[in-house]
Formats: sequence, structure tokens, C-alpha cells
Amino acid sequence: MASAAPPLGPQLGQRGLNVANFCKEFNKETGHFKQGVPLPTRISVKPDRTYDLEICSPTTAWLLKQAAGIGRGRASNDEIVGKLTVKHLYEIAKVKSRDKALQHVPLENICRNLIKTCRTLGIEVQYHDLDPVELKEFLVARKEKVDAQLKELADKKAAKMLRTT
Amino acid sequence: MFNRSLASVVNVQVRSVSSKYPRPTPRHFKRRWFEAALKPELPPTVVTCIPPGLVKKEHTEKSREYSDVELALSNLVRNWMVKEEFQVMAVCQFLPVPGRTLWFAKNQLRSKNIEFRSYGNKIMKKVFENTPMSSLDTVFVGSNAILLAKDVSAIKTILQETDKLNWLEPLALMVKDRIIDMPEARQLAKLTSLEDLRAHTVQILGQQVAQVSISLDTATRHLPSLLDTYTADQQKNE
Repeated sequence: MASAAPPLGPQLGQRGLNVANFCKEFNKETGHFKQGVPLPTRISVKPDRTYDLEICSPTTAWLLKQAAGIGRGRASNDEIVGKLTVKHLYEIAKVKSRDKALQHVPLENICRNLIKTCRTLGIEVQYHDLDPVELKEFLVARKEKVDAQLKELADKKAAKMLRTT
Repeated sequence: MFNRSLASVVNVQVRSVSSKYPRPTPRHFKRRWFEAALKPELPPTVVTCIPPGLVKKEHTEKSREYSDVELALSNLVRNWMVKEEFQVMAVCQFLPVPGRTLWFAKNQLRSKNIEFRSYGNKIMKKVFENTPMSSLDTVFVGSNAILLAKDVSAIKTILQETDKLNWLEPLALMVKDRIIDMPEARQLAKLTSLEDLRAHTVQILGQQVAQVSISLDTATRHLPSLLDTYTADQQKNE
């Protein structure tokens, strides 16, 4: 949901756009999305203060993380944070293929890129369907691990705040 | 006293100083003193003088060699080109262009069944090595890209599309096993379809055959009259 508050308002104002109108149009175009979905947007401002608005589908990383049911990617190289099947990737690729930048790109290439992103995020891609029992066990174990990691981070932060020297 | 001074110099050495600044010459006397003190402990440095030509020769020889990755890539490209059965290939001069523009242009070309590839000249020369296409090596100088299409009628599309893009200039075209220069390609592109050319060839060949039969027919038609004339002349003389 776009609003005229910083950082968007001042940035658009600097370029001479009517911020209120822009927000109205953006919210109208993205009304069918849930709040909090990151939508990559490209605005090209023309000299006569009109603009082209290109709203892409949600980011690949966000879609993959949502599909895998995880909140954060891997923190170390050998960490596996989630599991997905090729069917999930196919569906995500179909969503992404509607983007302007991915028009006429073969679905196979998009799927390959998705697999690369999965690797970056630490999501394991498998050919066969996921076993629900196994997945549940994995997710529970993973949640415990993430909680421990987050707690450690919070402790570190608190220690840093308390440090006087 | 020496130890104390050396300690201070060592401290100076440990300090991290950017290597981006030029070292003062001559070096500070403390530094020279330090180096002189350290010299007996350090291994002797051997200064060798390599003639500049030799360095260049080594460099060029090294750049001509193919690494395993390059060989694998060239094999991959060759196999892909054979598998996809491309019939038309245009070698183009590829000028620098923003990434986003290039990406959209590639997609646009793909929508018209033209594949844009830019692997580098070294790889392309290796791909065409020991094939009749190795005569294209002379074109692979500077920054090049290739456009590939599966249909012969794509010559026209390639020329139309490259005319639109000011950063892509076709240098030579290869259609099946023939290399075509640009003026010839432009002439071919003017035809509505390459079927016209085929029809034209058939027509020319048909004309030749017809001409031969007419010529033979004329001779056979003239032969009786000639013989008649000859016999009449003979009879008159007798």
C-alpha cells in the first residue's frame, strides 16, 4: 500500500509528480494483492511529468519463502532451510512469466533461475512429492533452530546496547 | 639504543598503510636503517631481467591456449547448434548497450524465432574449428554476437530487426552451408519469399530445356527442305 509518507513521498515530489494521484493509482492497480507483499515497481518519469508505472509480480525470493513456509533464508553455506518440489517451482514460474521482463522467455529458463535462487536461499528442490509427516518434522526442527538463532542475535544486540566501552 | 629505535620502526611497519599511495623515494632513513638491519636475516632476492618481447610472447601464447572450461563451453555450444538444427546464422558486431535494453531485445528476438548469443570470439573460433565455417574466423574480431534461426526465411527478419537496433550490425550471414555477404543478403531480403527464388530458378531451367528442344526441332524441320533443295540442285546439274 503506497502512502505519501517518506521515503516515497519526498522522492516522487523531487521529480515533480503528484504524490496523491500516484498513490491512488498504485493502490488501485495493486488492490488485489494482500498487504505486505513486496512488489518490485519501476516508475519512469517523463519530462512532461507523466510517468509509466510497471508493477511486477512479487519477488522470487518472497514467493519461494512463502511456498516453503519459512521466514528467512540460510545463514551458513550448508544450511537447508526448507524443501520444495518442482511442481511448486513450475507454479511460481508461471506467475513470474507474466512479468514484462520475462515475456518470451522460455518457462524452462525461468524454472532454472528459480532453482538457482532456491540454492541461494538454502531451499532444497526435489523431484518427488513431499512427505507431509517428514516435512512436519523438518519444519518443527527448523523452527526450534531459527528460534535459537534469533534468540542468540537478540542477546548479542542487547549485549551491544549494554556495552559501555 | 638500537633496540629501542628498532622497536619504534617495527611499530611503524605494523601500522596498516594503504598500498595505493606511492612510496617516498628515497625511503626515510629509519626505513633504510631497518632494511639494512633486516637484510642478513632475509633470503637473498634474485633479480632477473626478462626481455619485454619474451613477456609479450608468453602472454600471447597463454591467451591462445584453451582452458578446460572454454573447451567444455565450445563443445556445449557446438552440440547445441547441431541439436537445434539452425539453418541461418548472422555474425554481428555487438556494441556496448545497457543490460536491460539487451535483455528486452533478446526476448523480442526470441519472440521472432531468432536466438541471440554472445560467447566471445575465442569460443566461436573453437566451435567452428575444422569445419567449413572456419572461414568465418576473419569476422570474429572485436566484440561480436551471433543470431541464429531455424528457418531460411529468417534472413529478412534478421535484417529488419538489426536495422532497428543501432548496437547490432550484421557483418556476414551463413545460410545452410553458404556464406552470404550483406549486399546479397539485402537482395534476398527484398524478395517476398524465398519460394520466389526457387520458382525463378525452375523457370530459367525450364526456359533452357524449351530452348534446346526448339533448336533441335528447327534443325529437324529444316533438314527435309534442305535435302529437297539439294536433290533439286543435283537434278538440275545432271
